[in-house]
Amino acid sequence: MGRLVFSKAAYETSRKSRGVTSDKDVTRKGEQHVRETGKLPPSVDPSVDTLRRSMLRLDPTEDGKWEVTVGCPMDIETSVDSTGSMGDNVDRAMSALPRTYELCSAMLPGYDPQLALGFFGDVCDKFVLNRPQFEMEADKIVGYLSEMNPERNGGDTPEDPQYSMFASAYLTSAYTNKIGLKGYYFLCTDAPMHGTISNDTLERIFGEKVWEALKDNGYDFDPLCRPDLRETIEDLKKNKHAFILSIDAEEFYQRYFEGRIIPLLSTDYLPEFESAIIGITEGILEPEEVEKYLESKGVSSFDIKHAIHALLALPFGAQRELEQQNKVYIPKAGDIFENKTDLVPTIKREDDAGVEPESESSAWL
Amino acid sequence: MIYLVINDPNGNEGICITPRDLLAETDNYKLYLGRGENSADALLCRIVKSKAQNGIMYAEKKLLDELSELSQNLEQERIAKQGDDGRKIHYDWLFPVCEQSFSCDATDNRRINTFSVLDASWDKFVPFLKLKNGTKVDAKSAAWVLGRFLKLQAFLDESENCRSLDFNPDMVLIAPKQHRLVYVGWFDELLHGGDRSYSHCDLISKLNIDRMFDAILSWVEKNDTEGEDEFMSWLKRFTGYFNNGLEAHVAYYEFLDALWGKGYHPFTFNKDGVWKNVDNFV
Repeated sequence: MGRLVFSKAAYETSRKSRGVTSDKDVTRKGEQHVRETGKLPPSVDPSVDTLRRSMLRLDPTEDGKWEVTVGCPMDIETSVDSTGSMGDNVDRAMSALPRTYELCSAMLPGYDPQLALGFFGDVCDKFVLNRPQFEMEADKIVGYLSEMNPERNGGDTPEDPQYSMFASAYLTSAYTNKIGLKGYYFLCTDAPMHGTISNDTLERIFGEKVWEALKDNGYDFDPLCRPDLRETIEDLKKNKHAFILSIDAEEFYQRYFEGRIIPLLSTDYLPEFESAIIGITEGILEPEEVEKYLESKGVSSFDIKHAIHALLALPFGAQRELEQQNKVYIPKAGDIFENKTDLVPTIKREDDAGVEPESESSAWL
Repeated sequence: MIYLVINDPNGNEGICITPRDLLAETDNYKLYLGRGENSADALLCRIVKSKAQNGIMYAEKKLLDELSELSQNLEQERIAKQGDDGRKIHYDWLFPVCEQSFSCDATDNRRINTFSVLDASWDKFVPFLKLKNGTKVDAKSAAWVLGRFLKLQAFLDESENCRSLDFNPDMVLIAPKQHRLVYVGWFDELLHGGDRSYSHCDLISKLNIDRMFDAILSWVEKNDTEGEDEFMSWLKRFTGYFNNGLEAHVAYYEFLDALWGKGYHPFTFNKDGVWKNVDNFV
């Protein structure tokens, strides 16, 4: 499956080759496709190949086994509001892509970060959700971003990000979940959401075969009694480290995501805040370092001050706790798997030190 | 006796804790009344149960440092406006000082925060609810406690950069003889409200003030003392009226002045080393 990962050079080359020369209107290609066909381009259409997959990249070895090429995949899905004042967010995501990949990667040493950068709108919009596959190469990510169809102008509140949450919870097949870890889900919005999920809209977004796709992914839902919004969010949180990046919408999301909402002043520093959240959750970024980290990445003091208490209140090292609880072995580049579908390698690149037992001294403390 | 000396890796004084020092326990932390290893000074110590909450502990340290700075700034602003007449607002008496915040092997790298209280010792403090549930008080004694409650809310509302606090009476400690009240619920506040909307501040202030009035109304025992009925009536009449601690604090002390004369002071007088507002003890 290759060893290519994102690089700034590949990003620049890809932008040129796809005609994305300006930082504005980067989605001309996608919008033209919609005008001509009335449909979203397949790369961002949630109804095309409905499941989104984040998989371990393996190359065949000479003796018929499989070698990990990069590392354990880490699925990072973002879903950003693309309506009204948030209408230029695809342009911003395109400009910020190198920062997004590089900063997140730095917090995930040994992993293979795979990005699905999507956008959502309102049920009244022609397209409620643009949802790409998880990708790790610059050309593919630049490609799907340039094929987005953001709603841009107009729009009202509330919006409908709940379909993105539904997709992340039930229409994602991620290696992280299979081995007992969780990937990341970020929802960025400045508006509350409608409180319902309807079957009609599910079928409109994900296609009439959505129920089959769900079944294939292990969720055999009866359409008449599938999970409602609250259950969907609970399942989302079970499957993903899920966070709301809120620009003045904290009040609404509090009831669903208490302790997982980061108040932002704008989308200017999304990569920096997302990487900080990942660093905290992975146990890489110590609490004392969070503020300095954001400062060192050029985040303004106003933005830091606005978000810092919420950032520090996030569960530190939550991913490490999962790793210990579930006794997870995280595959490394060079590990050898007997079969492509195995979850544990037969040959590990280096001895796993294993999980250290909790000290029993001062257990009463 | 089993005891443990927890050494701060930053080189500060070690802390002695025994199992008997446990004051309170929640799902998230244990609260001990420890002692400085050499000084034997009482130190309130919070130890989280999971490393996952180390960040909140650091946030608590940061928040208390910020509150301390805000308090000093407001004190300076007041002096600049009104001159130094010896009075101090002393908002910094209403929250603890976070002395140390660290993790170490003894706690399996779970973070520990230690707290002192300015110009007093933790030995003199008792939980407000324990006091409230165990005894009734006369109106005059309850009056200063409400004054401190309102002062805390006034501080939060006056310091515009400060967060809104969803007040929890479980987290109030008072030192009756010193007329001191300290709020120690900052960790819990950060745990549940780290992402609370700032647009909620008015509503939260209102709820807090009403909760304070309610707590005082249910604490006072009627024994036909002078002004008692008026005091109770005022609280009932103004429940639901204020949505800002500063306004409530000013109105409340104006009312007390009118009711009982100049025995109650919104601020602390420390001229000549005399604490003038300690005439009405619990």
